[in-house]
This record gives sequence, C-alpha cells and structure tokens, in this order.
Amino acid sequence: MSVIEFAYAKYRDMMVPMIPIKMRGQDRWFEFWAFVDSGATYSIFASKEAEGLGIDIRGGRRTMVVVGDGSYIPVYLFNIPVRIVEIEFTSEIGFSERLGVGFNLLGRRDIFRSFKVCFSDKEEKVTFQET
Amino acid sequence: MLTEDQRWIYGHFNELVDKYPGRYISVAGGGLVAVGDSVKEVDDAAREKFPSVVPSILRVPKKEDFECLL
Repeated sequence: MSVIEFAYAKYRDMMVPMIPIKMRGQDRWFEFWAFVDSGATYSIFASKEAEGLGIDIRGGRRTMVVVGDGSYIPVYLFNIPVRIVEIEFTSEIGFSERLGVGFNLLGRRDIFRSFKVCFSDKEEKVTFQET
Repeated sequence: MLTEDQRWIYGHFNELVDKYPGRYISVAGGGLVAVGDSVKEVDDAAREKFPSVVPSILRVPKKEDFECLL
C-alpha cells in the first residue's frame, strides 16, 4: 500500500495541512490545492475551480452545508475523477459560490475511505496511506 | 514523490500569502508562471508556456484566513 507524506504548508507560525489534488475536467486534468479537513463531511471547492474544470455547478446535486458561524451555504455535488499523487479514484466533490474561507476544503467523503489519513503536528506532516 | 512544482509552492507559501492574497497562481516548470483572478487565466498561461505539464494552481489564502481557522 502506498504511503504519501505531505509537509504542512507554513505561514509565519501557522501550519496548515494543504495538499495538491488533481481533478479531471472536461478534457484535461487540473491540479488544485486543498486544506485537509477531517471535521468536514464534504470536500468543498470554490465555484471558480468548477469554472476552470468546465462544470456548471447548477447541474450538481444541491445540498446545504452548515459552516463555522452556524449559517448554511448551498453546495453543488459532483462525482469527479481525482488523483492524489498518482492514485486515482472517483470522489464526490462539492462546489460553492459561498465558500467564505480562502482554502478549498478536502473533507472525509470518499477521500478518507480511500486513504487512512494521519496528522502529525509534531512532525509537521499529514500522511495518506492507501486503504 | 512530490513534483518540483509542488515543492516550489510549499517552499514559497509564506511569500505567496504576503504577495498574492486572494488571487490565483499557477506554477509550472519549477516556478511561478502566472498570477490572476481565475483558474482559466492562470491555467491557460501556464499551459501555453509548458504544454506538456499539468500546472499546479493555488487559490492563495489571505492572512485573515489563518486567523479564522477553528
């Protein structure tokens, strides 16, 4: 089983588990970055990422997701081929025009089923082990 | 296992947040290629210069995004 280590990205004294993830668009692959969020059910990317992929987000399955301030935002879900390093699988990915935070979020749905994910602040890395 | 472009982003993350908060950047060929306001803009610029690679595209967080982390 493959084990992939990603160093935390660092901004001043803050460390964040940001990793690259490829997504299949209409005719080619794109690579975006996302914050690994074990507290999130869904992966949610900004709607501009969907535009780049050639996706009209209104064609997705609409759901409402509660965010940090207790409000709900609309998220449109799609099943998209993704790659983490070279491991390819299909994941339900959400897009939202209302994602208020500056990070795309990589949540548990499909991602944490495909990998055992281990955070180590001491070693400043997040590890993905293929399951 | 990381690509040169991915390592470049990790190595320059501080600088990117300070210089390009809220914007999109593309990295290819081992360095920054474009800064813009959409995925298409920065992706097109990188693929024009490096047609055989998948550019790494980062929506650069703002300083306040780090302060708002739960």
